[in-house]
Order: sequence, then structure tokens, then C-alpha cells
Amino acid sequence: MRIRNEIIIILVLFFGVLTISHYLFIKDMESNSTSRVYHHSLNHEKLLKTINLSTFHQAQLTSWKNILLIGHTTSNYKLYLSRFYHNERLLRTTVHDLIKDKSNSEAIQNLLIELKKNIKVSAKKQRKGLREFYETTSTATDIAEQFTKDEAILTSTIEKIRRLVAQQQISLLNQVNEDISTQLNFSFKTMLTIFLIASILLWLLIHWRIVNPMEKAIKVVSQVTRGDINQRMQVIGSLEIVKYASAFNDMLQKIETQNNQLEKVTYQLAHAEKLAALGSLVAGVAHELNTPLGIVLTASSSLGDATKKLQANFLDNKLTKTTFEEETNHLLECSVIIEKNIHRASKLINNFKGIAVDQSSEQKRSFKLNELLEKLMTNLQPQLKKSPHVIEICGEKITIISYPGLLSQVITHLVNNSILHGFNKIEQGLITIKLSKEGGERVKITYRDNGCGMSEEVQKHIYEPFYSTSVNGIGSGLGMNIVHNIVTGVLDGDIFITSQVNEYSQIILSLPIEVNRQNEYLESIKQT
Amino acid sequence: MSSLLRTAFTTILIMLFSFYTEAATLKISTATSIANTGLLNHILPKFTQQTGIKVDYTVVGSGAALKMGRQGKVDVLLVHAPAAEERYMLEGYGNRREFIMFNYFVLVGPKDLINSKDLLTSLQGIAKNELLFFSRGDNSGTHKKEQSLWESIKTDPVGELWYIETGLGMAATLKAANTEQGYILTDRGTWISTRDQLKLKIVYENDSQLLNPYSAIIVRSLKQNIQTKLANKFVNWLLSDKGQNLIATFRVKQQIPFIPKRDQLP
Repeated sequence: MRIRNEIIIILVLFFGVLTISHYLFIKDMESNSTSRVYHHSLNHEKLLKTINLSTFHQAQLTSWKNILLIGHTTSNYKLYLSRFYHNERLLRTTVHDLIKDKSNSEAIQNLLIELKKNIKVSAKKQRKGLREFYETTSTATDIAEQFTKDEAILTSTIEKIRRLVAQQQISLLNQVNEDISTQLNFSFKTMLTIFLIASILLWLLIHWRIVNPMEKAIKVVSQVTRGDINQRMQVIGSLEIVKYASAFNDMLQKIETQNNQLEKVTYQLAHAEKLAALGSLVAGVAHELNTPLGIVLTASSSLGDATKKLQANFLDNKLTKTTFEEETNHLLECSVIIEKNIHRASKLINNFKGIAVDQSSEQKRSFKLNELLEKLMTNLQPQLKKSPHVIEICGEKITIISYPGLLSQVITHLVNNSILHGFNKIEQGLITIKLSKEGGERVKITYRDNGCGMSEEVQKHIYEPFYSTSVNGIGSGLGMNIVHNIVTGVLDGDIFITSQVNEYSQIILSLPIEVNRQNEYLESIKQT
Repeated sequence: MSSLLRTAFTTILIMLFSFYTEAATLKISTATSIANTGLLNHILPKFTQQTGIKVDYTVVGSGAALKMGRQGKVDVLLVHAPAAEERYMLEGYGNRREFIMFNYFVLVGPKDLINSKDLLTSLQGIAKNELLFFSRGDNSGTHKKEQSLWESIKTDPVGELWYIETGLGMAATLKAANTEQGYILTDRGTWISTRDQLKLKIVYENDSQLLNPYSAIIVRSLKQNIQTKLANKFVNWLLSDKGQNLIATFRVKQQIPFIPKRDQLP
């Protein structure tokens, strides 16, 4: 699934849970506290309002006593009696309704019952008083006093109720306050928990679906960068990562296939080049051998002729002292020539053998760098002889442990390049090879010609296989590629090129005094 | 000069006459039932016409009427509270007490009571079932009758939810009982004059226990100038054939509300 959709689902779930809990919380609040306070205060308000004695007299704005006295002084008995009964009945029914309501606490209920009882008692007393009033000479004031006393009993009971109600209201408010804070606390904790869970879920999601796969991918990429092209990404994580991983794997697969093909072709070409180089070496050596051998042949035939002439003269006895001396001198001269040239041929063969042995055995060994180069120059004489170019070797005498055959190949390629390309339009070129130590563990070979140099474009592509600047078909375009492969691969060295067009080309080889690396290049060649 | 003296004399005579006329106003305190039925309006003009004595009346319950008598505020009381009247006379607040007329109380209510054959059983039923019962609560004759009935079944309804006291006159209390559809004890006179406006019916009637005798009492007081002469004239007139006839011929909606003393004595 897409990570976008996963995050959306988690967020939707999260908000859903939040909404539901919020709804439940509000509902809980409504059912518990707020409405409780509301109903309670409503109830109490009703209670206090209805049970207030002054409320009963409010219509008349006067007490029962005053009603009686006003009725008496105005001789309006009906008025006061009807008002009195009306108020009394109102109080009685109200108290009755309040008792029936049951929503009041037990203490209030008890007080209400007490009030009801008091109302009844005082009603009976007042009826008796009224009767007395009508049937005796007692004055309205006497009766009014009695009414006031009865009213005081009721007032005190009502006051008790009022106080109790106020007290209960306060305690309820405290309770509700507590409830609300508890609920708020609870809801806050709930929200916090939901947030925590949602965060953990998101973290896990991002970790398992993005971060983890990405880390693995980065590891694979860095391994591939280091050259381990066989590595493959794990196809895990969100859809995007999975797509990326499989695309990357496909790319790696393609690169690996192409790499394999390229290696194969490169090896084949390198092999061909090697054979070609060997062939030209052999041709050179054969040509070189031809001269002394021809001289030896001429000298030996001349020796044979001179011997025959000496023998015939001796047999004819025509041998004179002069003739003998002449002929013997000639013979000696011939033998000297033969010996000299045979020596030369032998030396040539030895040199060739040395190189051949180096090139075939490819064993790491200790050798003197300058001697190797001088030997190589001798072998390259045939090519150099045709041209007027000069090679100078200078610098320190350094012994290194390396692959002399491969190093010879490298120098051969460089010399060939100088002659073929650098000195193409130059009559007499100069090549200098300078040897120097570079620190304690490396040696620097500075190869320089004063040829036509290379443009930046050429320098940029110089190590690419089959890149060649020659137009007449000389050279395979593989030389510098092989040089690069050998130097950086087997010889464990570095190669730097600097050049100025029409001025010079300079190639610096930086090699370790002792190669530690196994000859992987050769091993691989052997395997294929 | 003589004409002047004549004029002055005439003026004094007129003034004296007017004083005399002023003094010839009788003050009566009457039970509501007598006034509400229209009996007083029926007979008083005839009395004034005959005797030249003007009558001012105050309509109150019998209890209040007796109280006014005790205070010497009126000359004659027309009341129907036998027990209280006797006590009043014994205490010496009356010169003369004459029985004038009577009728019967009736028990009315929204519907028949179970067991309404007997009055006291009916009242017990009302108390037991807490049926709404309306009372004037004003110590009037009707109220006192009702109280004595409650006492005879040993019930004190005061302070009960179903027992409603109005403090009003008979007609007003009947209206209140009608509004809330309660039971009520009323005198027949008021019942007859108001029953057309009420959705109530007679539940119990015609029992000697419900006899309702009306008396006239001439007030005696030392403090006030009671017009005993005029009062005696009025009471005598009520007891005369003229007065008794007027009571006997008085009709409310073709019904006889009061029976004069001469027709029957209980």
C-alpha cells in the first residue's frame, strides 16, 4: 500500500477515535455534572421560591396578621378570610407537591413533612382562634398576636429548609467541581493516550515502511558504489520503496550483465593486444638477430673461402710467407667478426628470453627498475632504429617488488604511443623516463615526451577502450586502457596525465615499492 | 320681622325633620344566604314604605354578624347559627331573639356518592376518599352546621388537602366548588338561586339533621346608641302577617327558598 494512504488511514482512525471519545466525554459531562447542577439548582430555586412565606403574602404584600387586621378595621371579613385561606391553601399544596416530588434529599424531605405538620397544627389553632374571635369579645389584635406566633413557627421551619438547601447546593457544587476535574483529568489522559498510540503507530509505520527499507537501500547503494555489484535490494516497505527497490535491482542486473560482457570483450582484446605486442617483439628480435647472423654467415663463408685458398696454395706449395700471413690475418679477422656477432645474437636472445619469461610467468618478484627499463629499451631497438628518436633513462636506482612483465608492457605501450602519435610530425623526438622515490614506500616513474601533446578532450577519453586519435588505422585504441587497468589494477598504483598541445605529454606512474595485492587481474584472465 | 322669624322657624323644622329622618335608619347585619337570594331586597322596600324607616344592611356570615352585634355596630342581626346565637344571648349581647323562618341545607356535589342514603355516611365517604369538599370557613351558619356535622362523625378536616376553605359568601363558595367540582353544604335558598349556573347536583337533602332556622336578634349594647325601638319595630314587622306573607310568597325561579315561622315549626 502507498505510504500516503497508510498515513491517511492512521490519521482518519486517530481523528475518529478522538471524535468518538470527545462525543462520549461531552455526553458523560452532560448526563453527569452540568445537567445535575442545572436540575438541582432549578429544583432548589423552585423549592426556595415556593416555600417562602413572604411569597405567599406577596399578592397581598402583608402577613396573615395584617390581613386579619385590615379585614377587621374595614369590616371586610370576607376579604381577609378569603385571602387568608387562599394563602394557607397555596402553602399547603406547595409543600405537599414538594414532598411528593421525592427529588429532594431526605433531610429536606423530613423538614418538609415537619412543615406540613406545622401548617396543619397552626391551621387548627387559627380556626379555633377565629371561632373565639367571632363568638367572644376578644379583639382582632389578640387574634393577630396568635397568628404571628403561628407564622413564626412556620418561618423558622422554612428558614431551616432554606439553610439546608443552601448547604446542599454548596456541597453539590463542590461535588460537581470535583466530578468535572476528575472527568477533565480522565479525558486529558485519554487524549494523551490516544495521541501516544497514534504517534507510536505513525513512528512504527514510518520506521518499518520507509526508514528501515531506505537504510537497507542506502547500504546496498554504498556497497554497489564500492564495486560489489552483486548486491541486491530487499523488496520491502511501502509501495513506493518497493517500486524503487525493484527498479534499482533491475538496473543493477543490467549493469552486471553489461559489465560481464564488457569484461569478456576487454579480456579478449587485451589478449589479442598482448599477442600483437609479442608478435612485434618477436619480429623485432628476429630482425635484430638477422643482422649478426648474416654477418656471421658472410664471415664464415669468407672464412671457408680463405681456408680453401690457403689449403690450395699449401698443396700447390705455392704458399708463401706473405700469402700465409695475409690469409691467417683474414681468418682471424673473420673469426673475430663471427665471435663478436654470435655474442651479440646470444645477448639478444637472452634479453628476449628475459622479457618472455617475465611476460609469461607474471610472478611477483624483486627487480631493479632501471635495469628492467634498459633491457626493455634494447628490445625496443628495432622500432627505435627506424626512427631518429632518443630515449633517456635517468634517476635513482631503485629495487621494487612488482610484476616486471606487466610494467614492461606499460612502458612499451607508452613508448609506442609516443612514437605513433606524439612524434607523428616530429623528426627527432626525445623521451625521458625519470625514476624517483616518493616517500619511503612508493616510487615515481615520470614518463615525458616532447611530442604534439594531447587536447583536454583526448585526455578526458584516454582510458576508454577503443578510443584512438590515429586516422590511418595504426593502434587498436586499447593501449591506454590496458595501461590503466594494469597500473591501477595489478600494480596497485596511480596514473596521472598532464599535457600541453604541441609541447609535451607527461605520464606519471606512482607505484608501491612492494605490491601487496594478489594478481587478480591475471587470475581473472586465467579463469576466463 | 315676623316673616323672618317664620322663615327661621321653618328652617329649624326642616332641619329637625331631616335629623329625625337621619336617625330613622336601621342598621342590619345579615347572613349571606338571606341577601344572596334577594329576600332582603324583596321585603325591605315594603318595610320602609310602610314605616318610613330606612334600613342599611351589611352582608356577612352569621359569625361575623354576631361579632358586629357584640361590638354594637348594628341594631339587628339576621342569622342562622342556633348554638352560637344561644351563647350570644346567654352572654347578654342581645335584647330579644325571634325565630323568623327556616329552610333546609342540602349537600351538593358533582355526582352521587355511594351510600348517600345517610348523611353522615356520605360525609364519611367524602373524608375517607379525600374527595374535594368546599367550606366557607367564615363561622357562618352554614359553616357552623357543617362543623357540627364533622364533629358528629369525629372528623377534623381542617388542614387536609381535600378540605378547601374559601372565606367567601355562599354563592361565591358554590361557584368555587363548581369550578373544581367539589362537594359542598349549602342552604337551599342560595342553591335555588344559583344552581342554573352550576354543574352540580343535590347529593343529599330532606333530613331533619339539615334543618336551617333563621333568627332575628336585637342587639344590646351599653357603648353604642342602639335603636332598640326601630329594631323592635322591624322584628315585629317580620313576625307580622305582612312580613310572614312576604317571606312565604318570595320565590326564586319558581322555588320557595324560605318557609315562614307561622307555616311550620320544626
